Amino acid sequence: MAEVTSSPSATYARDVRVTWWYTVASIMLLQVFGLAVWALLVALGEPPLVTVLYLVGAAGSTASAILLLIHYRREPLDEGDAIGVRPVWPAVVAGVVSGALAGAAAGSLLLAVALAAQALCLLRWRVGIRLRLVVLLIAVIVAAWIIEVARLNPTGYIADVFGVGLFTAMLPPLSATSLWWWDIVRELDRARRVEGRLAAAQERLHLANDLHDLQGHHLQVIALQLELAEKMLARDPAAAIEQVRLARASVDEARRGTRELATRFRGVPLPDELANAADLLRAAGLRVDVDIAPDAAEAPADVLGPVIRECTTNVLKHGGGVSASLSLLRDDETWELAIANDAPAAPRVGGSGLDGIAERVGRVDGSVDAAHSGDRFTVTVRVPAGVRA
Amino acid sequence: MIRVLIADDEDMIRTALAALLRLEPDLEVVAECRDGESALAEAERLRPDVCLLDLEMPGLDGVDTAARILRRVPARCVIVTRHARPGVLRRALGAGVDGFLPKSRPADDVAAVIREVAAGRRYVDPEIAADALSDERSPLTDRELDVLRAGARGETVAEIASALHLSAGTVRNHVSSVLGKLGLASRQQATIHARERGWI
Repeated sequence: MAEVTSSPSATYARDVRVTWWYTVASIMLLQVFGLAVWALLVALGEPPLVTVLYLVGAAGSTASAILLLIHYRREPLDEGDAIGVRPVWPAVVAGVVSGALAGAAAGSLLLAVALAAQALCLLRWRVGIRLRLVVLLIAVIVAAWIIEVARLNPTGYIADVFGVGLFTAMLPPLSATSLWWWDIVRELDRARRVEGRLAAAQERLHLANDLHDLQGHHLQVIALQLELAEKMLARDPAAAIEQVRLARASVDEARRGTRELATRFRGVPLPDELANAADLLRAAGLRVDVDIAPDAAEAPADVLGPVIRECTTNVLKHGGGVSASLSLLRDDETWELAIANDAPAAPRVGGSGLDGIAERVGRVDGSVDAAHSGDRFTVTVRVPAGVRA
Repeated sequence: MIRVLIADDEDMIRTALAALLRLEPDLEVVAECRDGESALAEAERLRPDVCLLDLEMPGLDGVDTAARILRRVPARCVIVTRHARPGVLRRALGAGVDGFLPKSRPADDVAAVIREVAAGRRYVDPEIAADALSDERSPLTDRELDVLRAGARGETVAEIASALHLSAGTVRNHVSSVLGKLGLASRQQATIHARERGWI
C-alpha cells in the first residue's frame, strides 16, 4: 500500500483513531493471554530457571510486538522525513529471537514458530505480499503443530490438540487480518478526505466557468465598441470618443463582476475581521487595543462588517495617529461596535462612506454616532442583538 | 512639480501609465524601471518624490523594493497591484509604504493618489483594505509557523530542529499538530497552504 504511506497519523479522524486502539487492544490481548496460559503450563511443569527464561522470552516478544505496532501506526509524515524514522528490523529480530527463546523454554516448536510469525505479521507489507506471507506462515505453523502433536501426544487426545495449540497457531493470522482491516479503515478515511477536496475542486471549476463566461462576454462587447470607434474616428470624432468611453465603462463592469465572483466565497467571522483590522493598524505603526466579546461571532456580520472596513480604511488613510481601539461588546439586547483613533485634525471622512453605513444600520433599527472629542475620533454603532439583515 | 519613479515589469502597462501621468501638469516621470533592483538604483541616483511600484515583479517584489528604497532615500512609496495576496497590505504598511491601490484604477485616480502621498498623507484603497480584513486567520501558533517557515525550502526535520534549537521530536510534534489543524497530509502541503494565505 505504497500510496497510503503519505497519509500521516496526525490527520486521522476520531473514529479512525478509536478503530486503531481497538485493533491494537485485540492483538495485544490475544498475545498476552496466550503467553500467560503458556506461562502457567511452564511454571507448573518446569524448574524455576526455565520459567524465568520463558518469561524473558515472553516479555521480549511482547515488547517487540508493541514496538512493531507503534512503528506500524507511525507513518513518515512525508518523503523528506522518512530518514528520521527508526529502522524496523531490530524489533523484528528481537521478536523472532525472544519468540524462539520462549518456545525453547516451553519446549514447544509451535510456540516458537508462532511467536516468530507474529513478529513478521505485524509488519506493513506491500500489496499482495501480506496474503502470500500469511498463507506461507499458516502452512509452517500447521507443520510445526503436526510435528509437535506427533511428538508430545501420539495417542491424539482431541482436547490437547485443540487447546493451547489452536490458540497459539491462530495468533499470527489473526494479527495480520486485524492490521489488514485497519488498513482498510485508513484507506476509507483517506477516501473521505479526498472527497472533500474533490468538492472544493468542483466548486473552483464552476467558478472558472462563470469567470470565463463573464469575461468572454465583456471582451466581445469591448471589441465591438472599439471597432466602432475606429471606424467612426474619421467621420465623427465625437461619436468615436463616446464609444471609447463606453468601452472603458465595459471594462469597469467586467472588473466589478470579476471581483464579485472572486469574493463570493470570502468573508470571515466578525472577531477575525476585527483581529485582521487590529493587525493592519499595528502594521501601520499604531498602538491598538482590542476588546471583543466572547460571543462576538453572533453579532450581525453583514451590518457591522462594512462598518469595520470603512472605519479601518479611514484610520489607515488619515494616519498620523498613535493609537486606536476596537471594541465589539454586547450590552443586554444591543451590540455595540466602537472604533476610536486619535485624529489631530477633524477627520476628513468622505461623507459617502459613513452615510452608507448609517443607511445599512438604520435598516435594522440601529444607530450610528460619530463623535470628535479632544483629539479622539470615535465611531459608535449600536445594533439590536438577534438581527440578521 | 512631483518627481515620480515608475517600476513595473509589464512594459505595456508601464509605458502607458507613464504616458498618462506625463499628461498631468504637476507630475514629472523621471524614471521607468523594469524590476526592483533597477528601481532601487534609480531611486538612489535620482531621488524621486514618489515611487510607484508594481507589487508583482520578478526578483525583489514591490514591498521589498519599497522597504529598501525607504531605508536609503527620503521618498514616498505607492504599491500598485493586480491582485493583493493575503497578508500583503500588512507587510506593505509594516515596510512604511504610504499608498496601496489596485492596477485597475484609472490614471486620473493614480495621479490623485500620488498627489495625496506626496503631500504626506496615506492612501489605502477601500477594496484592498476590505480584502485584507477578510483574510482567513491562521489557526497556527507562532511556534508552528516558525517550524513551517524554517522548513519552507524542503529542509529536513533535523535541519529545522537545529535551526530553531528544538529537538527533532518537538519539531515532529509541531508538524503533526499543524497537519491536524489544517487537515493536510504533508508538511509540503501545509507550507503551500500557509504561504498562499500569507501566514508565512
